[in-house]
Amino acid sequence: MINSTLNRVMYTDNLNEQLNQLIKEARMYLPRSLKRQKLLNEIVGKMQQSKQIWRGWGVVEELYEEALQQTWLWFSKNFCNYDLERGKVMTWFNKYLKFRIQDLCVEAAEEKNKHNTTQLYNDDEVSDPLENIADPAGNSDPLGILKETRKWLEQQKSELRCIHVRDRTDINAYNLILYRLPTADKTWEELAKQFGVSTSTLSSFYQRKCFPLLLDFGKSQGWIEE
Amino acid sequence: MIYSTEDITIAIPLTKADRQKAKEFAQQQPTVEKQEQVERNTLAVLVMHYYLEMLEVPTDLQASYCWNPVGRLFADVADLYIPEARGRIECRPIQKGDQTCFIPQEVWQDRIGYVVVELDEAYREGTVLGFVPAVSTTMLGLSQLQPLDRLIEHIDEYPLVGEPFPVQLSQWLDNIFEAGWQTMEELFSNRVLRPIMPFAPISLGESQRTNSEDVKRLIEQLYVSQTDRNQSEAIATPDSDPKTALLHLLQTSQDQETRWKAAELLWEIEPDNPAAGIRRAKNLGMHLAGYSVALMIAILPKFNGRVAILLRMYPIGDQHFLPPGLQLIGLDDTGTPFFEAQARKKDNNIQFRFTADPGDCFSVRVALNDASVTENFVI
Repeated sequence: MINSTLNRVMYTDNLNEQLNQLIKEARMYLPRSLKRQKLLNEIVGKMQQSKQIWRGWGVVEELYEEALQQTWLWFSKNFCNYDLERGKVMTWFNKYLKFRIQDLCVEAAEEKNKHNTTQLYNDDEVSDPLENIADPAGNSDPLGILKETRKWLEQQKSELRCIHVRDRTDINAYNLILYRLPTADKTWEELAKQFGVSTSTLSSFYQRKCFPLLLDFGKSQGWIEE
Repeated sequence: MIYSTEDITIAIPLTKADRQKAKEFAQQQPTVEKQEQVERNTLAVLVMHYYLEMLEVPTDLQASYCWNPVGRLFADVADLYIPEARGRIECRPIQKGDQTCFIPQEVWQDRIGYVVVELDEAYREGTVLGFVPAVSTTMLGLSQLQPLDRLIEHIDEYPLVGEPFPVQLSQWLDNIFEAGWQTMEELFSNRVLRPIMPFAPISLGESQRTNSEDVKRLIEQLYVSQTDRNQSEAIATPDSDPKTALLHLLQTSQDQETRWKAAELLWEIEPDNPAAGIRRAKNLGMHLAGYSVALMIAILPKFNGRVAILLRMYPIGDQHFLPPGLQLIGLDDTGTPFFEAQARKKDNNIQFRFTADPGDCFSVRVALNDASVTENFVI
């Protein structure tokens, strides 16, 4: 009994010593410098490996994840400011994590009262009432984007046909994009066989010459998500 | 590169909002297969986004291809744009237990690196396992991953590197060449002086061209040297057609030096014959203190799946010789030099040969005094 407790205490102290050492070292470098980034990487890795991050048993999982994500971001910005005399780094981290969880719980309760819905944290169902309203521009409708792109393809047919692999007018942007439509479901291997060229020739041409055209079309339609 | 348990991996929590975003993008896809692909790609990208945010490396999701609905629809992409590196990292998802990571061909170019993110079953967490600077295969083995420290360094170094995207040498075997890499004929067509075969006897130097007698004699010498080494080989007689003789050597010799010499001779007779490997040269321009030099690279696949590489510097223009002090340095993927050659007075070329494996990355730095040009390659 005594032994195991002793060992645990020793291990904890050892971890804390290591973390302190790393933080002291990181302090010597400017924020966003390469050395500091690498040290932070090591610190986070050690903290995660130690399994001493508070697990949040009993807390709603979604709340825990969000709190943990926020805590890591906060930690990465503030770890060099911590006064190492005040106590263990791990304790400081866990304290912040628990406070974040508390805050999020309060927020969630307030949301619940506001909207009067009981399904806020149910992963299985669509919880956002807005999600079912179709975007008037047809942007969130999968067939909308596909449809518009196909229309554009036909409109640009002659221009797209002029963009082709050297000496192979049949391997052109129009054809290749049609074949790569998700509904066409052709693999690079199948297409390579069909055209009698290597998969590298096709994928390279696609990536360099065809894909950018599709991206530009997407941008021009204002479809980039926030 | 050994991926050991000593290497740090970082677990990033994913929130409900993250999962919802991924689902939203997935629901825009017309097939179940695409839906799953987009959902996982989106989560992997978000994991990297948060990880880099922790390291205070800004990322731009809106500038990433996978944030463009048309991009998602038409390719299997999971890129994350990093403004300070002026490039994008590909973030590929795997499941717990996978030993390899699928990297589709449509993302082999235009990336500064590739990270593998292990997503847990419920998509509550993603673990960043490691990274590689370039790929040339659809199945990347996890054992090839480099530690995250290297990723951080790579992003940090990136804007300083000359040529942003590595030249994909394996694609040369498929006749795909990056801009600037020309055939020797194209590069030297307008020049007065043609490059001289390095191992040819000095007497050839005067005429600048090899005639068939010289070629025959050199082939003979090659066969003789072969006999000295491999006693039991059946050798074609020197009378047979030079091309056949050389092809025979290329296809049967176990000695890489002999194969290179045979390749050089075959380049004289039939420059486009693929049995002699592929070679291309790039004019490095006047970047080097006013001197114009060309870097030639030749790749010759070996029987065991490995690839033999030949690097050679030539003067271009009116110069017979390379500027003295010109350095040719080869760097491995950690930036450590693995060879260095320097031109002395009256060197008309400097070269280096080595063997590598598909997937290996290396850089070549050509330097003269303070000026240098660096080219990156992946096999």
